[in-house]
Amino acid sequence: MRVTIEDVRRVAFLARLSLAEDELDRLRSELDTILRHFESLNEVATAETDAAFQSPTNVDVLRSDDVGEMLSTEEAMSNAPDAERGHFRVPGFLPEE
Amino acid sequence: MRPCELTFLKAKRLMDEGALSARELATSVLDRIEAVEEGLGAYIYVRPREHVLAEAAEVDEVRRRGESVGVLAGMPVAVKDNIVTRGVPTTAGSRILEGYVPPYDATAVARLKAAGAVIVGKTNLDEFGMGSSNENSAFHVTRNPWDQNRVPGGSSGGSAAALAACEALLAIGTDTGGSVRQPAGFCGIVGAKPTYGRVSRYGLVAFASSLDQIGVMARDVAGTAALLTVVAGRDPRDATSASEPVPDYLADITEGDLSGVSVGFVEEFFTEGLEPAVRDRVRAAVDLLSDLGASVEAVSMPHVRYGVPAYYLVADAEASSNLARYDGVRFGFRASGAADVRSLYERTRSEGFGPEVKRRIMLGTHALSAGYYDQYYLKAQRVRNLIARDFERAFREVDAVVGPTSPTTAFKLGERIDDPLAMYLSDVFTVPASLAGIPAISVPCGTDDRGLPVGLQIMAGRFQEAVMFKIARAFEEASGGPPDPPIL
Repeated sequence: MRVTIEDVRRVAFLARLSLAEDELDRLRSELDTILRHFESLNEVATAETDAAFQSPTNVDVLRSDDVGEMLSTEEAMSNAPDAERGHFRVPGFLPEE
Repeated sequence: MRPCELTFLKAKRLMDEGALSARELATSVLDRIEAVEEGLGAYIYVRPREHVLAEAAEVDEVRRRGESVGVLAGMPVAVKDNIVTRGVPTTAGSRILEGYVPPYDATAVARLKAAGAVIVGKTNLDEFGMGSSNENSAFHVTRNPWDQNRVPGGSSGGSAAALAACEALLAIGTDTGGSVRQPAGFCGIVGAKPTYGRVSRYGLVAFASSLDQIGVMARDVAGTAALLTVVAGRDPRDATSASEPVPDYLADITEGDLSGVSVGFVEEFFTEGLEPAVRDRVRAAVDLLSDLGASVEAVSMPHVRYGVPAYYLVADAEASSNLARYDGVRFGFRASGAADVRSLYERTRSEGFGPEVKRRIMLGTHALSAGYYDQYYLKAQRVRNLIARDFERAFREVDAVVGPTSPTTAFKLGERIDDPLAMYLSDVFTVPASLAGIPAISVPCGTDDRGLPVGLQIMAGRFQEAVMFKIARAFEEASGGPPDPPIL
């Protein structure tokens, strides 16, 4: 077994997903199968190969710091699930007692 | 023939001659949508008829005044729903974006509008582009117009099905690992993924930023060439968009002769898992290219067989980072009843994302996490470089390489949805070009014995779209023109 249930719990925590027990079990077995198959990559000799993939396009793209067209605050906030006076409203960072 | 059944090139000729108005064409497409859409599910959102017709009438009015019109003037275009459209809902096929109305247009959309295109609606897709069958849409499945028990492919399955069913004349999709080419192959239409950086990604809902590229789809090669000419080019809003000049791909297409063009036949694409009918059609297509004057030789690309694992590790790692933005704070769905911010994030993401998206985020987060990063992510990036080098070597010898778009024709709805690995393996021939960042096109090359379309894939070097279109167009002409759409 490459992927344990502890691995799945740890990764779900990192990914900010809360998963039910049956979801955790299913994902464990799926990730295990997938990663087992992906181990074929170990057949490839890569000691001499760069890990950075160079984008074929521009490098060092710079622009002058000019004010251009931009969204108004109203437009930028128009899809907010909860907002007040130009701010996004969220529950407290610490759980309420 | 109803106007909605015309190819781009025929419709353009008729409109330029004054024999067809944009309003007539738009009416025909909207009537067709009303007649067939319920059974197919190609669209997530169809714009109100009066808005579409008003825009088409405006094009007619400009033409009547004798003013010059854009190359796409009056062309009904479908836009994949992971490309933002100002004032028109955009969901990326996800509950987490349900109800999202973008306050801006993607650069590609702005360029379509500036060229006179009439946007008909937003097409269905696998959630965030993650899938090869459209079954991962949070809203509904899309059926393949050639056989409604089968998938249209994915993730641009809605755009491909809309074209095959004559519910649009042109469409744009997105291709991260084959999402334009594979559904084009399955639905018997043309779909091209340009070079990475050829089209601005501004306003494309990000999945895997080093791979994502907006692609072009039509029933004829000319339609894809015209679309790319319009949407390609540098955009200050996307730092990865290329400054390379954009040729007139449509004007550059010459018919017939391929003498002086060399084509490589990728040996590694003709292996196990390839359906015999697909193999035979593609071999016959290669013979036809040879008859047209192309010199054909076998090329070996030893690393393409590692494309699927390299692709899924890189793409999902990038997705796990890109999709961190869906937290229920600034836009989209927010779960109710969370007592603190942490549970707001977790509940929103758990309720808002579908099973495949969660699987990808989990796989990608795992591949990037401490202790696994070298083993999975960096290893995959190294293999990606080797695949890119395979292509570079091949393009020192030949102008293009060809092979099948997919190992099979369209599979049945439900056939692979419970087996994620089997679904991933259907991308085996499309992911290599994505990893290498090169352009590739799928063109119809006949059908299997069930009458399902087979796609021929033509790949070219970076920014060599012109030779790709030239080969595709010559092949299309020599094989009798674009196939007639299926009868629905």
